[in-house]
Amino acid sequence: MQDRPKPHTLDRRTFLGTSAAALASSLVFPSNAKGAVPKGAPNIIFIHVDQMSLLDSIGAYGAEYTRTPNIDRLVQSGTSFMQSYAADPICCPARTSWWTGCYSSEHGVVMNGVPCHADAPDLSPLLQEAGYNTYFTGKWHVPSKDVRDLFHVLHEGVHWGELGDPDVTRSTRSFLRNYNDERPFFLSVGYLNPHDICISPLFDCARSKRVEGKLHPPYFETGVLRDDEVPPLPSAHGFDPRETAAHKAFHRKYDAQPAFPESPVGEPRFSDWSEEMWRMHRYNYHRFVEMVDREIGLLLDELEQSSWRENTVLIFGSDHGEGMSRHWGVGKPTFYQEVVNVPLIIGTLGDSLPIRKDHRDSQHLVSGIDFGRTVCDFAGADGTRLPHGLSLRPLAEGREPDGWRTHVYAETNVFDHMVTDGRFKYIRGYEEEGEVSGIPPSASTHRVGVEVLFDLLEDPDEQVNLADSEFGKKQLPVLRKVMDEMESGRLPLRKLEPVGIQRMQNLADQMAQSQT
Amino acid sequence: MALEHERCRYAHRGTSLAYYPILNSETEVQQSLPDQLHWSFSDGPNLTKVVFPDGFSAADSTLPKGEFDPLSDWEQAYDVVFPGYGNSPDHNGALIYFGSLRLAARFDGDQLHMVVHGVRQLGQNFSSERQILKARFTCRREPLFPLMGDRPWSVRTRLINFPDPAVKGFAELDQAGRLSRGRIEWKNSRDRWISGEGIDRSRSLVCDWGLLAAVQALPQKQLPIEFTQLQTLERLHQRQTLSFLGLFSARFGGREVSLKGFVQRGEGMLPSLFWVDGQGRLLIARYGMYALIYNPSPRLEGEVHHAG
Repeated sequence: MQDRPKPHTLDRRTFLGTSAAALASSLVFPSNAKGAVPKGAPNIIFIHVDQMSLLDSIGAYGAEYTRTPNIDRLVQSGTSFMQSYAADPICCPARTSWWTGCYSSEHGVVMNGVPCHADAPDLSPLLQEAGYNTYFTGKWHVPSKDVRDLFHVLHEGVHWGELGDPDVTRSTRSFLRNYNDERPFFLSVGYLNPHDICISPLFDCARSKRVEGKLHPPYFETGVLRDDEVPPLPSAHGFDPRETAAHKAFHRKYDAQPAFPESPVGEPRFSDWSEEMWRMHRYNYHRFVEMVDREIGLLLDELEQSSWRENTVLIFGSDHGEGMSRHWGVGKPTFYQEVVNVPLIIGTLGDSLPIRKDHRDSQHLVSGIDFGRTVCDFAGADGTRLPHGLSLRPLAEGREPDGWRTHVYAETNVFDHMVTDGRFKYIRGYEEEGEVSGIPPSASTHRVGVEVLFDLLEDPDEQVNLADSEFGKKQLPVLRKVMDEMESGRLPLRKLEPVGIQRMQNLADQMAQSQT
Repeated sequence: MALEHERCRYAHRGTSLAYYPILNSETEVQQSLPDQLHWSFSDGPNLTKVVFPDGFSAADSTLPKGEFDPLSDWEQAYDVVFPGYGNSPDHNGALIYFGSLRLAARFDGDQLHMVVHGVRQLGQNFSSERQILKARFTCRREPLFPLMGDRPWSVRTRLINFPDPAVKGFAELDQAGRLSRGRIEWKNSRDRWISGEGIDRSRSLVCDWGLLAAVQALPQKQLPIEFTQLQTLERLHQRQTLSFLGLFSARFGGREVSLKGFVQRGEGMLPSLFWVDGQGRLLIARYGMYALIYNPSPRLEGEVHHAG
């Protein structure tokens, strides 16, 4: 038996009342809203996970090796955007793009740990001006922007999802039980998993034996796992070696000087990995997905029982995906589909908001850039102060917008840019020799190195780079033009912060080495 | 022979091996032997170069002493540790010792009552912020100590020392749940029982904390056994299997310890291993990202008590 408040008896005004007690209790929850109280504006909960791919990860979408009953509930609650792409498929750049509406080359966070330009816009103040209280719990990871300057922070998360995600859930549940203010709230819930998949290979390697040059984890020979319990190698395990220089420097020379200072020394050499190691990587990824799925279930159960069920928009997404042993991939960032194509769902548990339920949108191309303007649209905030992005609200509500983008654009590893129309994916790898300028690349300032072209319809596993083929030669001029136009549409580029310039130089040096 | 001057402990940080003298009490011959660790608890430098040298392998070892009956009332405590990776341990203690866990078991006829106290530091960002957890639940006295039907359990968590006063209203969470007619039920904020997820009635519903008690007394012939796990009495993980892994002779600071190993695998968990000594005490539990290491006086628990 469900004990859920009926909407007509427990709207916000009725629930809160105007009693002195309600007023007194609101003093316990200091407001960071600045504007007038918006009438009828929905609450917004942004549930985000880290390193979850759209591919092979969600049961409702057909994932074979994992069970996600609670993310499936989110799928049923709204519209799933199946052509959703990270603006830059790695943590800090992707997350900064969410909150600023800028591409990496514009906000300056071109790699993890590189500071954001101080004048990059922020979403939270826009919501506060629109009358929202804004709260944050869990992972933030936007360098040089202090989350506590922008939100009330319930809990700031820890490095490991298995250790910290339960506390994110508890803080959220407590919030949903105790929030007591006439203003609507925006709550960002940042789970870390399945990001723990970045660490589990290090444990597996440490536990492995080396046999004929290959690392073999102990799980099969000791009976910890049966062979049939572990997924096979993915069909996309191999890769075309004609990849960009930045991609090679980052992913294919893993045991050289790491591109990122915070990368631990002695990361696994993937050429040492046995088939069992690759398969265990898939197995572990799916278990981390299940871990965070159960957390989301607790959150949804709490929301279902709360006063906020009816008038709350849920947005679910991931900053980027995971290699999942596809293309010899571990982690990120790459432009392969498993890393750049990410889940995005807009839904609601209630029936009051006009959000389409259990709908898959495979037509419209969506970017992480769109998050800010989408939230502003729902909140009645001024989204024009974010430089880029299209509001997904019309699509979520089943209305056809006036025009939509024909290509989606993304950047990664400073030097790599991507455009796709959903079928053809074009990747341009810029290169820079000698001393870097410190300015993010464009066609007018940097040399184009390797180009990559995939036909996702004929080659969904992205196994053959068509750039040098006759077919590619016909397709590339169109895609190059699109890329040039999208690069031109960026804000004026400027030098990165000093840390960013140094990291850019490090990567350029490694790119030069990887060419030899 | 006085031993203090013989307890030469070589520098353990930054080296791959630690040597400790051991006593042969009959011959008073000292031997230096390296630690002997299983792959499931030697896969990280925080364990091998900090936690064991400061604990099990220390001169004043934290290995338990005395007899132990896993089926009589007991209380045990653990450090919650991040094993680390690479060659060097983390130099920030907040990145090694994540918390403490204390389990108390009281046997009462065909029931087992358990009380759990946990402390978690969230201190990667704020050194003093802590989460305190207290849980109570009742199990049936069966091999896996499954949760007793229709007997409510409780989990209470509260944050302390948080820096933002706006968090005050959201710092505590009281949860109550029960297993009723094959479904998990939980109390909502209006104190009403709400029906949740159904479970496979052919499998026992086991809390992970109860499982830590169960492996201490589990006859090997009962294994493998399938069950459903209610992680921290909150998250439901279906399709779990507990198996016997085998015996392992560990050595900590020259002390030989015979261990019996169990492994759990299933949804929502990396393969997790449990190591029990000859007396039946759980000494080590190794999960995906962390380990429980037996310590009668866990570090974080001591800090919280000290701070009042």
